[in-house]
Amino acid sequence: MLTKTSRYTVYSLLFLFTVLPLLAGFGFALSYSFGITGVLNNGFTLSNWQKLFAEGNIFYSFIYSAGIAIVSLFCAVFVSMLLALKYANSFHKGVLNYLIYIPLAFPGIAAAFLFFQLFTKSGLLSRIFYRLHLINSMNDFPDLVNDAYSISMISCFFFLAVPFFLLLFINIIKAERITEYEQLAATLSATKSQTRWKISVPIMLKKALPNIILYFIFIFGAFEIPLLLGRSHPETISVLAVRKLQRFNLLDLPQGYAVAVLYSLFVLVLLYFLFRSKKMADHA
Amino acid sequence: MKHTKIWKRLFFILTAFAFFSCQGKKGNIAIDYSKKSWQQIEEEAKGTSATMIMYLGGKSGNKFMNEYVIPTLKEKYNITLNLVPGQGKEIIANIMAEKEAGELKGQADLCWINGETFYQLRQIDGLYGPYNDMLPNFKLVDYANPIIRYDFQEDIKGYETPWSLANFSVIYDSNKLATAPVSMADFERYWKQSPGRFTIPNDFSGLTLLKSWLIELAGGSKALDGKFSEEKYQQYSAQLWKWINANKKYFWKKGETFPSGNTAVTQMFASGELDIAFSFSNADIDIKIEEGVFPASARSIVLKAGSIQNANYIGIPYNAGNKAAALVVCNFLISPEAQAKKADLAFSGSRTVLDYRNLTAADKQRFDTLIAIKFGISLPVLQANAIKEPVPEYMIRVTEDFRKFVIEVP
Repeated sequence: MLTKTSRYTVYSLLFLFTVLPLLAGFGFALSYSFGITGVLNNGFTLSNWQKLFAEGNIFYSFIYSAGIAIVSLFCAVFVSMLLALKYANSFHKGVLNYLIYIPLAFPGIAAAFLFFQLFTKSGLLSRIFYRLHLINSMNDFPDLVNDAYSISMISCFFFLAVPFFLLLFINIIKAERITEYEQLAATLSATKSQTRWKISVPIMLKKALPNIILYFIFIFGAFEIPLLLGRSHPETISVLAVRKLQRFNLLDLPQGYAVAVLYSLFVLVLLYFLFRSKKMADHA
Repeated sequence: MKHTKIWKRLFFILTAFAFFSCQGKKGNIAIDYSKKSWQQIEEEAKGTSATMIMYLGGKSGNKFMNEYVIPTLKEKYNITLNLVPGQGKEIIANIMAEKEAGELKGQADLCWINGETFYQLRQIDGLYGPYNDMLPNFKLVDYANPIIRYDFQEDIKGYETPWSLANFSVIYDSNKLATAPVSMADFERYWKQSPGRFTIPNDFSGLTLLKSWLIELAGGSKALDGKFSEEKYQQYSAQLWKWINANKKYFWKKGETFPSGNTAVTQMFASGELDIAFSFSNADIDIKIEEGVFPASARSIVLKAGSIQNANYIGIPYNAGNKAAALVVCNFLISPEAQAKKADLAFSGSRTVLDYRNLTAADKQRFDTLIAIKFGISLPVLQANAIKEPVPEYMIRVTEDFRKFVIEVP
């Protein structure tokens, strides 16, 4: 047990190195967006926020980023849950035990390049299809990079998320003794689908919810993957913020900070739900 | 009571932290180097080190700096030059943050900049100067050339040192296109014949292409010279966006998206996915053919409006910590020796900013013995078709409107 003094020291250090820099950054962005700080700003103004909302891109970007995160997460959670329930034991031994960790070692930018090289019209898949005479020219290969349905972006997030959730679900199955519950339910004459949908899936989802929310925040704010694999319009929220922050016109900088403020507020709301869901998961 | 003490201590630490983090380090911002002799400046720079922020993504540029500039500076002046990666946006962000924090001794002593960064740095008074007249080699620079003296049509007034000349050129594969499109009418014809094989990078190169078309629409190379004209811009840009929107269905990915930068376009040109690439370096095509990146059949052309030309420069941040070394480095970089090396195809193959007529016979010899560029545009053609960069307002508006009226229009 920590003594009261050492507990306060830990809290103070935590505050100093985590909360304070975040608060300082948030405060700086907020005051920049209202024209209070910044070398080219001339005092308090609402015009930067007005311009940002009048332009409208911010709304598209929020919806688009959330959409990408929801679709990628839904696919990844569904597939990894299915794999974990079916083959949980196979992942504990043999080569699968190692293979599962490989995608986790990929940084976002490396994964984005990999998918770009795979899916682009002059990429690996297109070349294989061409060699197999499945397409007449490499240009006939479908648009999978910078495409209208964000296929390459969603595939890339899926590729990174599946192993993470697979490991998570395998551990949940073990820790929550789900197999034993399933066996118990079977002895009480529950059908296989009843056991799965009424026992295993709800427990696993409830326990994994905090991680799902955290991963949602990760995809929602990702930068390199949408930058390389996404389209020039609509943009995800981070791409929009960085574009505004790095524009040729320095007078647009405060709008970039306004995007950052909105993004931070959105993440804070999500974190509130995360703590609530964590509490619920702990009590489950 | 104990808790109150701890919180008091914490409050003290935080206040001290905030106070000290707001204190800028003392630099040599107040020293007037114009009152010192060049010998004194060189003496002060001796045995010190300087940091330069520059784009380190180019193989030939890196080779020039690492294999020639850094060792020669060490040997001749005992200056250690450290390179830090960064370009326009990062340089602006750095200097702006330091200015906002009141930092008097900045991280960088030199930075490699071009017109857009110069314009932004001048907006925030981020550059040291005027200092060019202090540099002994500056008298060799072709300062009468408006492309060198005016950066984005703004007089440099000694706030940056010209380093090399650049020109916008269009690169095509002569095996795939019998004749390269030069005028807007040619481009329209080509797009319809070969759909899906052309795109506009959404960066400086693509925006320069758009400005070139704007100049063609406005009536030729001098049409957008001088101050920004809202009337001209409205008239010709409306025509430009209408023309692009009418034709973008023939672009790469049907014009529904545009690559974020020229690097992606260059890669797609190299892999055969696109027919046309863009470059700001006249020697780029020779170097890339030699390296095997571009096909041997790649050629470059000048657009109908001409070739937008500009110079790139070395700037000294207003709060550079080692201005003496920065001045010596600037002077060295415009020496005939360093300029001839930079013009060598084995390094960057860049066009020099020096006036050949100002050079001694021995220095002329350095340039005369260089291997001539084979596939880049010849110097007489470049000179005959030179367009000065229009004022920055055109760039700002084209950047915004290309997004608003083309990218965001389904």
